[in-house]
Amino acid sequence: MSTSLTRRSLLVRGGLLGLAAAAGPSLIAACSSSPASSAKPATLSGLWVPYDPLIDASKAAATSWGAANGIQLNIATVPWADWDRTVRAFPQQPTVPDVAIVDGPALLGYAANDILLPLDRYFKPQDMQDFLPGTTPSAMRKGSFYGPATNESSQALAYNKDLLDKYGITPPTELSKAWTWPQLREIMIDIQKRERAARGNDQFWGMFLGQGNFIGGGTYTGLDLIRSKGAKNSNTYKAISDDGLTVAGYADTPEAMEGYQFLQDLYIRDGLTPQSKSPDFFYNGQIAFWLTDPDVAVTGIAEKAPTMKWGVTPHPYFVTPIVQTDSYHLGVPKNSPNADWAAKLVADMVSPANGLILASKQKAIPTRKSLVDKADYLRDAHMQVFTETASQWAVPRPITPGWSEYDTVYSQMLADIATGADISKTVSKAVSDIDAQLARYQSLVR
Amino acid sequence: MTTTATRRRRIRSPLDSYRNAVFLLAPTVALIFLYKYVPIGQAIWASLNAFSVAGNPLAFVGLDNFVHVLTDVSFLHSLMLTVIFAAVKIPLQLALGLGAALLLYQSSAFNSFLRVVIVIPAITPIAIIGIIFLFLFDREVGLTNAFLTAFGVGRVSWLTTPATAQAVVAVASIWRDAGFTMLIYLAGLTAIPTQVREAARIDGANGWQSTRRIILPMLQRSTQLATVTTTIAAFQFFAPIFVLTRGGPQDATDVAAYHIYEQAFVFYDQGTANAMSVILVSLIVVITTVELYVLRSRWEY
Amino acid sequence: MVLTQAPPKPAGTAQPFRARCPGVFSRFRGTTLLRVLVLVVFLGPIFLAVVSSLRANADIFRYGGSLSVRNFIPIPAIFSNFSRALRLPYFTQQLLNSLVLGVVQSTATVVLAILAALALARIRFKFRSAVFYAILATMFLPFEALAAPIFLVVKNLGQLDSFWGLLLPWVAAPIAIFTLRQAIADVPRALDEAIMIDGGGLLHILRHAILPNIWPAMITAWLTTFIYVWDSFLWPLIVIRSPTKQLAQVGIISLINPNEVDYGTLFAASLIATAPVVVLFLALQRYYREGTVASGLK
Repeated sequence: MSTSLTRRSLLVRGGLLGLAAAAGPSLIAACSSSPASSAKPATLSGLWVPYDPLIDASKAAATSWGAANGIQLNIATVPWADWDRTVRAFPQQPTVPDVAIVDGPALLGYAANDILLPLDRYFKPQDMQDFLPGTTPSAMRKGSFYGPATNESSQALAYNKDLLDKYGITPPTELSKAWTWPQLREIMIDIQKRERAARGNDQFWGMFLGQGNFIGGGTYTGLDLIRSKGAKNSNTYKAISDDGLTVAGYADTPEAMEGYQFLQDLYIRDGLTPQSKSPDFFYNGQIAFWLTDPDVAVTGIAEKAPTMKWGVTPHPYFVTPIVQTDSYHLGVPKNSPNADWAAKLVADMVSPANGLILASKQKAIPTRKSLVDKADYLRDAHMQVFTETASQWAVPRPITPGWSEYDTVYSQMLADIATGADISKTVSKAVSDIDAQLARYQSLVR
Repeated sequence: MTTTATRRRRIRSPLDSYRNAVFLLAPTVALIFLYKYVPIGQAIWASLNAFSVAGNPLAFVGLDNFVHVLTDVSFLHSLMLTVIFAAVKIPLQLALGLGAALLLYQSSAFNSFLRVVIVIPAITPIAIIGIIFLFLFDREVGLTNAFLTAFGVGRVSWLTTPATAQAVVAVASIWRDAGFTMLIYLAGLTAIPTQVREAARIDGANGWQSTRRIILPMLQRSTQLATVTTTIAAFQFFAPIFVLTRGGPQDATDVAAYHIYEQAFVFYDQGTANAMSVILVSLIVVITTVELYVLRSRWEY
Repeated sequence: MVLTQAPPKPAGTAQPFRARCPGVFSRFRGTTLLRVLVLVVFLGPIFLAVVSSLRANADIFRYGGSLSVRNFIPIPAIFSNFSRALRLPYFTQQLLNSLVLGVVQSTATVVLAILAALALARIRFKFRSAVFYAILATMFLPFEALAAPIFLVVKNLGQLDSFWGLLLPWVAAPIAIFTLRQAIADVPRALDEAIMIDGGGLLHILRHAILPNIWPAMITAWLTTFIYVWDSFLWPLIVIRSPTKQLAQVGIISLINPNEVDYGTLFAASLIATAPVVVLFLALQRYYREGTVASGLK
């Protein structure tokens, strides 16, 4: 075909034509947000994550307000992978849900991008005082409050009691006696060696780290390990600058690097954890310890391993005990036509009465300090350690408007480290990538 | 006679009607213009602007994005990965497709069955191929490692070691697309006239020689088509990487398509993403044009 | 390129591969071992997917690490993965979406392509070559490289998260136009002239002269588009926001969530999502092969 020249020139001509066409009224700005007040709607639409305990709990917590006001809450779900992206797209959507579940650490970014309605009007000062300290920092921007948490989370080390009894190990239940990471590692190496010998195969591991989708634990669990390497309020402990825009000098301190090395050794040198991304091994009795949060542990084990005897011991640490918490928050998209009603619903769902329903149905820790004492289920053997951890050791995850960019790059960095990458090269590249991404938020910082 | 001729001249053939052509082509041309050419213009426009994290255009920055992108090590790395991936995929896939076509050309029930078997992966939705390979190469529960441990080799971290992750992704891609290539070559083989094959056989050339010297050159057009389609497939390879490695480990599978996706839809940086798109598309046009020229058929038969 | 063999026969009578080519390739008859290898390599992973869909997750994780026979034959076979997949909140809706879009897009593509191909193959008009090559040129652009700008265009047209946003960018398919144009060009003009003499217009030519003779190419184009729709991943991923509008394949990948990788359900859902494409292909493969031959490598 001697037509390549003709074709190429046509492509150029076509492209210029396209350029002319596109440069015209190409980019129309999204319509500005409409005022929030309106006539009373019959229903409010909600966008939740596909996590059944949360959905059931939310429906239950919304019943009383719904009955009193004659408004029904209809909940639709968004797939996990689309969650952040969908929320970020709210300002450009013609129709948005009236209420949405948003991820705690991402709240600041959403507020900074003007996606959510400030909810100060709907909460009294005593409410704000009552919320647990781990849950409010990321929801505050320039003094405004953008959404209460549905519950507080926690993290601790669940363990297979039958297995540990077999080897005569009794983990501590008091926070003051919590194991350090080196202690835990020794115990795991020992158990793993003996159990593998007993089974005659290598299908047994010391621990499973995190909820499962991130090798290396991600920014929720993996970062705990790194931050605890620092003394309280040191740069390592803080993990990010106070303005939330820089990680250089915080994520790559000498202590942090030691933490990364320890993480890598867990996976590679000592082979104490599988790379498969599923806690099914724990349910099968193939794992001794599972570092995770209470809802996943309690509901997961109840459903998939109901006969297993298990216990909970505090989250291990290096220098300073630290556990990152904060869970789902309720937010109201600014451009919802029923924003005012939605905000009222949100405030009611976390009221003392309904907040207890919201948390107890998930077997999670309530957002309000006043409710923590009232909730008896928090004192059962499995929840006790989680609850104390949330009151004493809890800190929010790094507070930055660029949370999703930070999370993506940092979690991938931990995964690369955990699977054997060169630590100093990987960390320095990730740190410069993160800072480059966060620099784009310069103008939006609080 | 004259009457018929006159009648013919007087009837306006619908086949010469400009108006008919316009009606028939209008929707197609409009759609292609709107969804293929306008985006090219859009890409060029967007690549000349900076965008905010919310996805809105901020300011005209001229060629800044291009400068930034062309000096960005990770983008250059992803371009290089893509080119290497194509350079590996094309010959292997063509060889596999041609081999399968030659092997299964004979008519037999088994061959018919095998031809279908080879095409099944090619028509299976691609992300599902990704899931299958995710499972097959899982470190702890994957069958590959089960075999390796049984034979004493030990477990390999297929998807979390850079080199092996690249190998798995390449194998998944070639394994899957081999069916398409086989179909192209099968079609090409049937188009070879029987006389040629008979002539080759009479000459007494043994199977391999006749294949190499006579049949292969006659498959020039098939090779050209297969090369170009495989190149395009290589440059747009995305779904299995999304499912298996997300560009990792350590950016080992961060091919251009995935890199651009990440820039545009994970980091919300439309300006950079479009600059990368412009560069990538230009590269593809150049490469496919070169391929078409180099592989142009010298045989007319 | 012109086939130097017999002139093109009407559809349905083209000779299958087997009768035409004995001879040179007979030496390959003895390569049974090679062919068994091909069988294992290409069918193996699919077989694995089928087996895994019939196992419980606990089983997969307990025995996956070794060459237990349970990895190859599900003992016991359970069907709860399939019922769980079908009871997923949006899966059946997404299957329906894929089915509807598949049928609509395939049909619309073929219709549009025939119209365009008719003009390009039969009608002589100025700029015909230019238009043809302008259309053809877009075939060489891999979509993934243009995902970002096409997304912007669709967004500005307000077609995000909609059926139209999924359909319109791809319904004018250069490859379908290309192959159908070739198929139409192969139909002898004598047939057109016969109809014109009888006073028929363009539509008559289309209906009576052209269409009956390009069935294989039409079906191939239809089937290819259907497969393409079910195979599309990146586009629905970035365009569709609501799970109720999503397509089956993307919906399945979204099931890989932060808390677990539920292999059993994933495989069950995958098989359900693969079945329509495979069934259609097996049913129509005769036309598919003939269509590929006829469209050829011109």
